[in-house]
Amino acid sequence: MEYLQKCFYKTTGWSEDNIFPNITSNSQAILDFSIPNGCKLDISSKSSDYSASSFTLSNYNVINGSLAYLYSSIPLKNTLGTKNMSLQEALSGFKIIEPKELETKSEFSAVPSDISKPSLLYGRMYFPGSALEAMVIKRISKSTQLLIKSISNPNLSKNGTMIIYLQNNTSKLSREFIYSTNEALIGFRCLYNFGQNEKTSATSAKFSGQHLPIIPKLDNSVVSIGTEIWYAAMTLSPGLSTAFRYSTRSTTTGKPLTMTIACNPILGQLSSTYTVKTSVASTFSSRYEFNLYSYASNLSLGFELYNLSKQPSPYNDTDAIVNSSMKISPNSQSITISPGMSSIDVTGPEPPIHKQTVMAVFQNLVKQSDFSSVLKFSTSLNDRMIKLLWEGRCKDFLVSAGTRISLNPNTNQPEFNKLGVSFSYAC
Amino acid sequence: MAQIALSDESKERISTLLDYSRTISHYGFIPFILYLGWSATPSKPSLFSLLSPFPSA
Repeated sequence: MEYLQKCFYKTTGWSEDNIFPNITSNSQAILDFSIPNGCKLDISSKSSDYSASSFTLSNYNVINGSLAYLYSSIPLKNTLGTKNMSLQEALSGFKIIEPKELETKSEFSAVPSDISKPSLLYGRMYFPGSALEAMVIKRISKSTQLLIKSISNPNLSKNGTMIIYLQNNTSKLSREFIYSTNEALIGFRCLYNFGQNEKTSATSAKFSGQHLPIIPKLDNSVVSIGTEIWYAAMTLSPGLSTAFRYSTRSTTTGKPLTMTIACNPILGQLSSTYTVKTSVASTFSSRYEFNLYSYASNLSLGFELYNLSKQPSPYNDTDAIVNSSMKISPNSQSITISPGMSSIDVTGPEPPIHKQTVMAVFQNLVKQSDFSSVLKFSTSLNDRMIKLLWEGRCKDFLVSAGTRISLNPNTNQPEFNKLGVSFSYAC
Repeated sequence: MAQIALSDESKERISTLLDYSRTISHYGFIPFILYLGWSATPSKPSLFSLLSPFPSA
């Protein structure tokens, strides 16, 4: 169901990377991945292009299940079942954050007006207890959407809670107003991307008759700064945090890396992360947290390793990709060369072009590789625990099995905190 | 400013009305989603194929 929501965002051109809570998503995917609890079975199917249903059964403590239905006003055609889906798509892992180009209006002008304001409705009912989880996404304009999430349960106080998000998301700036009925919480989040994007800088350079500067610009990197402010009207308690993200790619190897610094001045919490995709099949992440008031610190390390499937895959076409991109490069170079270029400049534009192709090749490799399974590992020195998760494809099912082992602080004996396996099937 | 005086009876009526609307929205949300999905699909699938989470052959 999360996958379908992602597909909805993708079809409607909504960037999730641009939203403040996702600013540290890359390191979170590797360090704070969730482990299934108990045994869980998840079966989803798309009954038509506009609706989908899902059934979940799990035996954590007691056997419980849930039934979910989804409706989308636009046909979700680019969805795949677990059989054909690539692992990189199905699992949340490292995402390459790219500078967003300003979307041209022509993209949407061809779309009829009723499709340009898509909506998505989602409801999930849990048994036993008949608690309802509901979500409504309504796009108000091309860059603004209203998102309502709600939990309704007669057993909860005030019969549940509701959160309303009003999100405005453009390539430069994203803003979000949040209201939660729980303690009348009011929030505001914003995220700003620095640096000119590639497309506009290239065109402006062309128009001004100058070539691109020799110093590597922020062409393939994104610098974002974001902040959030919370205020609980009922308890009169405020909240504030701010974060900075720098995401770039190595100029020689094209490998992407992301660095973030997050800080919460009220709690005095500082946290810095460094995540790098060390090769096509592996990612490494580290995080250091420090509290200014208590001097408590914590270092977390984690990695994910992908296993290539044994079947012949498009991986063999690597040379073809390299060759084709190298062939393209002289043409693309001619765009950047301006008439009044001196002899020094001839060598100048070469590295950025080479850099771009290397990046493109690396990205294509990651996208096209056919992985069969992934192993995730993370540890935290202060909490003295190890988390292990294996996710892979077994027949047509996506299986994920994981465990969390920690040292008991009293007896110093390792003990299993969590152990679970989850099967999911979708078609 | 003139305050609207509500009798106890009407207060009670409003609260029962709110209670009912909450129950209706609680149990009616999923059927509403199903109806939207059914009406949007040109082929108008049968109720069973919409309801069943299991893939149909």
